[in-house]
Amino acid sequence: MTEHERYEAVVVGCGPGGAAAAAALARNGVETLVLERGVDAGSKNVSGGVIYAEESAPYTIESLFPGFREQATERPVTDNYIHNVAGDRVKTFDIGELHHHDTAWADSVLRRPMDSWLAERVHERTRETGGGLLTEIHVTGLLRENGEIVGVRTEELAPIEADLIVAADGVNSELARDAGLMDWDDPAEWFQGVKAVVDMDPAVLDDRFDIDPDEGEAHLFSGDLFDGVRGGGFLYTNRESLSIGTVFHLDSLADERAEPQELLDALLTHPLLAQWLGEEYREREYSAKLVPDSKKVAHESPHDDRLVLVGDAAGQMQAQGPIIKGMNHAVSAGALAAEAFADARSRGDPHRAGEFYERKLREEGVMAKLRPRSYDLVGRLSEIDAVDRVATAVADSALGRLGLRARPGSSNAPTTPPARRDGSRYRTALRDAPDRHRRGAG
Amino acid sequence: MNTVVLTKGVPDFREEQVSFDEDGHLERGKTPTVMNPNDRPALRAALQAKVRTGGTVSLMSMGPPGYEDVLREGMEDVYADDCYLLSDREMGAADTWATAMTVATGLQRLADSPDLVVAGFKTADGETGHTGPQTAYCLGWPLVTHVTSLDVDAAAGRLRAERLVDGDASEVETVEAPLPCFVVADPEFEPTYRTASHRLAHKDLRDATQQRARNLEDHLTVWDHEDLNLDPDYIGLDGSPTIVAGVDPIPKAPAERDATVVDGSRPSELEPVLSELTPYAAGD
Ligand SMILES: Cc1cc2nc3c(=O)[nH]c(=O)nc-3n(C[C@H](O)[C@H](O)[C@H](O)COP(=O)(O)OP(=O)(O)OC[C@H]3O[C@@H](n4cnc5c(N)ncnc54)[C@H](O)[C@@H]3O)c2cc1C
Repeated sequence: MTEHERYEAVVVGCGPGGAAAAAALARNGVETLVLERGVDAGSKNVSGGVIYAEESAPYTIESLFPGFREQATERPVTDNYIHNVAGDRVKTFDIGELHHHDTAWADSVLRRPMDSWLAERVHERTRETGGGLLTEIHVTGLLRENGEIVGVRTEELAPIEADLIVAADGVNSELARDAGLMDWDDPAEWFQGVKAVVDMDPAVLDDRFDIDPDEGEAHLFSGDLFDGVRGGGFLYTNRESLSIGTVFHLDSLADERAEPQELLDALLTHPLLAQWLGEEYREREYSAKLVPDSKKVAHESPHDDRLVLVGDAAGQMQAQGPIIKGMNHAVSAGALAAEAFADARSRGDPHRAGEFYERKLREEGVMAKLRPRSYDLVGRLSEIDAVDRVATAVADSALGRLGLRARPGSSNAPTTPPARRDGSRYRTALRDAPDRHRRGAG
Repeated sequence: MNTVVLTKGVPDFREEQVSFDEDGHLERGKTPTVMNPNDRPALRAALQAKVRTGGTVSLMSMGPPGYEDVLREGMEDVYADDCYLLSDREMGAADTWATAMTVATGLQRLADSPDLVVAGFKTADGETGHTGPQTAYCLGWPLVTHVTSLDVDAAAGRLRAERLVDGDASEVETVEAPLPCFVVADPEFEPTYRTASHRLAHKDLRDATQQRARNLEDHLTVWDHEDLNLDPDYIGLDGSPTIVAGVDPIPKAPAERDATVVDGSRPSELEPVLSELTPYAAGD
C-alpha cells in the first residue's frame, strides 16, 4: 500500500455547495482540505443570479457565513414580477406574495465577488482545522484502493486520501462521472442556460427601476420568448449592473439549432426590456452553461463509499418555471453532508456518512423539493393560468414580437400604469428605440 | 534550518529602461536598478527549502544603500524573514573576489550560522558567474552548481540535488552533499510542491510576508566593513585583483534577410502570406 497524504475530509470545488460543506465541516472540527480549480474561487463562475434563503431549508448561506448578506451580495430582491409573453400580448404579474412564500430573504449576487468572499472565509476556517483551501488545483478523478474509493487524484499534487470526499465540482462533475453516479445524457434532463451581465450606473439603475439603492427587483419572463421553444428568462438588479439570462429546455431546443447567444438575444432584444436597458448598453460578461433538471436527475442516493455528491454534481438544481434554485440547495446539501459526516464520525464509523447524508436529504425535505411528487403552488408558475389564479395582473399590454413599434399612447400600448403596493408606478410603457441593441458599444 | 540567499542589484537591461551614452557605455545614473534576474531561481530554491523543511530564509547583498529596494523585492518573492545589506564606501568597486571575501565574512558574522547558502547563476552585468563559487571557497564549504532541483533533508544534515553536468541541459546528474552547503541555482531550477500541506504552508508564508516587506526597515541589518572587521586593503577596489580594462560595445548584427511588407487591411492581401507559410505548417 502506498503512503498518501491524508486529510479527514477533502472538498472538491468551492462554489456554494463546496463552501457550505467546508464551513460546516470546519465548524465540526473536521480537518478539511478544499481543492478549487479556478485561479481564484469564482473565476470560472461568471455572472450572477438570486440566492434564496428558504424558511423551510435546514441551512442558509447566512447561517453558515454570518455577514454574507451584508458583504457578499448585491441587492435584496424587494419586488418580484413575472411577465408572461403570449403571442402579441404580455401579461405582467406582481408575484411578491408568491415570492414570499417560504422565502426568508432572496438577494441578487454576482458569482465572482461572492465566490471569492466565500473562499477567503473557507480558507480561514478550514486552515484552523489543519486543512485549508488551495486554488488552481484540478481534481481529475477518484483514488481507489482495492476497488474502494479512498481519495482523489489531481493534476498538480500527489494523490490524497480522506475519510470523506465531497464532490461539489458542479454540473460537469468529473468525480460523479468517475463514480458512475452521473449518467445524464438525455436532452430532456438538461436546460441550456445563457446569462449576461450588463453594466449600469447605479443612479441610472435606481431611476429606471424606480427603486432605492437598498432595493432590488427580480423580473421573470415566461411564455413565447424564442419561437415555440419551452423556457423562460430572468432579469435581476445588482448594485451597478443587471443579470439577464434565459433558460431553455434542451430537448425543445434540439431542433432549433440556435446558438446560445441567439437565445439570450431573444430576451435582450425583446421590447419589454427596452425600458430598462435604455438606448445602448454594455454587456460585461457572457456565459452559456448546461444545467440539470433536478426533477429528472437529482440523485436519490448521491454517494458511494466515502464519496458524497452535493449541488449541481448531484443534479440538485431546481427550476420552477423561470425561477432557478440551485445555489440554495447546494448550500443545504453541502452542510447536510458535513453534518452526516460529523454524526458518522462520532459513532466511530465515518465511512457511513453517505448513508446518513442520503437520509438527511430526505428528512430535511430537500429531496421533496428537488423531485416533487406533485406540482406545488410555486411549481406552476410557468403556467399562465396558475399565475392568474394566485396573483393579480398589474399590466396587460399588447406588444408581442409584432408589436415592436408600439409607443406609449398608441392604441395597443398600456394606458395608465397601475399603482404598485407602495404607491410608486410600475412602468410598462415601451420606447421606440429600434437600434438600442448595440452590443458592446461604448 | 537556516538558508541564506545571495542577491544583487543590476542595471535593468530591458529596452526602454536601460540607457547608454554615445560611446555605448552604460549610464548607471539613468538606468534603474533591479534584482539580478538570475537570482530568482535561487530565491525559489530557498523558498522551497523553507516550505518543505521549515526554518528561516535570509537575504544578503553587498551594495549601495539603494539596494534596499532590491532586497524588498526579494523579500516579497522568497518570503524572507530578514535581510542583510553589506554596505559602505570601502566595499565599492569590488571585483568578484573582493565581493566573495566580503560576503563570506558577512555569512560567518550571522548569529545563526547558515546550513544552506544559495546564489544565482551569474549576474546580468558582470556575467562572470564567479562570485558564488568563490564565496563557497572562502567558506570552505562543498559547492554544487547548476542545480535544477533540490531536496534538503535537514534532520540528516544532507541535501540531494539534480544538476546539469557542465551546464548542459541534456545531461543531468544527481549528487548528495553534507550541510552546510553552497548551492548555485541554475536558471532552469523549478521548485515543486506536490503535496497539499506544502502548498498550504506556501500560502501561509505569502500571507505573512506582505506585511514584513512593507516594513523592511524593521527586518534589515546593515553592516559596514568595521562591523565585519574587514581590512579595507582586502575589500572593495583595493582588494580586487582584477580590473575591467575596457568595455567595447558589440555592433548590431546587420539584418541580412529580405523583408516583404504586407498591408493586412484587406483579407485578400493576407493570402500570399498564408501560401508562403503553409509549406512550413506542422508535419510538412
Ligand atoms: C443561466 C443560469 C442561471 C442560474 N441562476 C440561478 C439563480 O438565480 N439562483 C440559483 O440559486 N441558482 C442559479 N443557477 C444555478 C446555480 O448556478 C447552480 O445550481 C449552483 O452554482 C450550484 O452550486 P455548486 O456549488 O454545486 O456548483 P458550482 O457553483 O458550479 O461550483 C463548482 C465549483 O467547482 C469547481 N470545480 C469544477 N470542477 C472541478 C475540478 N475538477 N477540480 C476542482 N474544482 C472544480 C468550479 O471551478 C466551481 O468553483 C443558474 C444556473 C444557470 C446556468
